[in-house]
Amino acid sequence: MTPVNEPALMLLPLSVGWGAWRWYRRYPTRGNPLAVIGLWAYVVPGGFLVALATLGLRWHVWLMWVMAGAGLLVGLLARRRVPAASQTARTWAVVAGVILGFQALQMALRPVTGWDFRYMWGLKAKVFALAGTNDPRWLAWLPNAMLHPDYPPLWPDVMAMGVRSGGSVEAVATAWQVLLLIALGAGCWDNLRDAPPVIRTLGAAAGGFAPIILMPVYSGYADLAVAFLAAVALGSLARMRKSKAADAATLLSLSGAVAGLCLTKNEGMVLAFGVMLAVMWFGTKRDRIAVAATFLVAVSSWQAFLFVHGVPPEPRSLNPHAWLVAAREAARWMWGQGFVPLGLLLVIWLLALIALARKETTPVVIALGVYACGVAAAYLSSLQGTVWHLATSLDRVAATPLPAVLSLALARNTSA
Amino acid sequence: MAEAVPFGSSPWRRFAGKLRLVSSPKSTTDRSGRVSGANGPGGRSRNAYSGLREIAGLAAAVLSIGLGIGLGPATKEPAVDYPFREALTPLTDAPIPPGTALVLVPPPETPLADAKFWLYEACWRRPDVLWSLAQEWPLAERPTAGVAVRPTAVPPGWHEAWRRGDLRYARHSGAK
Repeated sequence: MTPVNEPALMLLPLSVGWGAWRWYRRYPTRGNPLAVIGLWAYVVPGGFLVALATLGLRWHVWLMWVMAGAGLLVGLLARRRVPAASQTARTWAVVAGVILGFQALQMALRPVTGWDFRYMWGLKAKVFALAGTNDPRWLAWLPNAMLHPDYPPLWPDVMAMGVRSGGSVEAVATAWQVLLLIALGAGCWDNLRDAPPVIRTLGAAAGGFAPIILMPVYSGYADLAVAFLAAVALGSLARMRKSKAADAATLLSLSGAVAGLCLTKNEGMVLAFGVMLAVMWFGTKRDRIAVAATFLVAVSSWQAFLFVHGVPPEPRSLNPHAWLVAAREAARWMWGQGFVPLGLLLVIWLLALIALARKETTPVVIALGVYACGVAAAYLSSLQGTVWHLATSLDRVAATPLPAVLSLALARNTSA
Repeated sequence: MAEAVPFGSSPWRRFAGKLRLVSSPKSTTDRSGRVSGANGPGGRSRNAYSGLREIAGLAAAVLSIGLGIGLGPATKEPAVDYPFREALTPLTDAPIPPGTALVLVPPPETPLADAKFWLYEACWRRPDVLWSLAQEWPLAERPTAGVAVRPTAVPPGWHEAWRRGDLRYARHSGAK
């Protein structure tokens, strides 16, 4: 491993993001640069590492430099530039930037202390960095079955990239969280392209002050990445519906976000499935092929890796009677939860869904419906106890897509 | 003929319109002078619902930001002392070869359900080896080394290779 300064850990993925942004400048509907950079800085390096691991190749540091060099080269060669379709008052952009900067600073100053970071996401990053791959021996080791070896690997992989470059896993996680938080705010801002600047700023603030998922107790978890990818995917879906067909920039972002969701978390995979179904319903032939192919390649590559290496999937109950019992337990538990924060989250969801009831957001509602059904099925078929599962995760699972939904709920009504 | 009212007729919507928070409904007049669109015939109820949606969206965003401020990165965490974190800290210095399959023996007073936390911490301290608990045996790969947290007699056929306080690392004599 080569020791580097901790801020430099992000240079490799950011060079890819920069290259992607330079490429996007050829599209008038390119959107916000921070969202584009965040998306591709996360998805391309992570996807590259997953692809190498799937092919049985080790993550040599020089391969990461080659990837970053390719990103820089694309950026340098992409000279074509057209004027952007939408412009925004700079004052409000600065206000949004200050809000996001404040939150990012708070995140940067807090140590990463989440339980699942230490014993799952960060642990996997350390294991994978040491092994130079998604270590199949460690993942298939039966005593590690409680550490969710079947969870998609993108989040630990991007952290492992920083660890292999010489950073501590805590420092790398912090750097990524700061980047993803800023990208989340930018993504929410980007979803409000037609809105008045003050509303765009409010949307960015809804991203920057996303409830639950930014709590220290959940620091280092994959939920922030999923929230950002959800903002890009659902925003792109709404734009696709509004303009009847996805333009090139929207389709690129939608595909990238779908790939990222599939490879970051099981909940992300469910949301990506919902997005794909919505595209199948409303998209053009080109949109359908692009999104379905991305989804299938991303899901099948990781599932094939698990199958080939004998990594056990999480056991699930297939007994309908057990599902009913679990549903009853879940209802009783939720009733006893009181108003804060879960009840308040539900109120926010209700208000957001009222605001979302518009023609151009129908695909978004479909994707969210699939997400809700998938999450409910996962809870009801849990063999570890539904109430324990709910108590440890329902708040953040419910909060993850919320910034994306709010940004779309705030969007201007252009059709009734 | 009804005159088009900017931002509709609901007081909430008029207030939001003054703040420029909601979109201005477009009403058009055709050649015969008929007004159509948001405030035209048939458009009033639809427009009221549109106003409700916009207010609901604003309220949701404001509530969410409020909750986000209350439950954000600055939230105080309850300080919890986990005994396994301190007890297993010296593991990082143990001369365990990478890739070794090990058994971890937590303190005898540890409840069976909590033993897995000791295993997790051992994984965090030494992610380069494969950890197991005795209750998880038999395993496809038989552990050839062990770490015990309390002083215990080394079983026959094993020898102690390293010790730090109460923490002991022993290897099976047949293991390399």
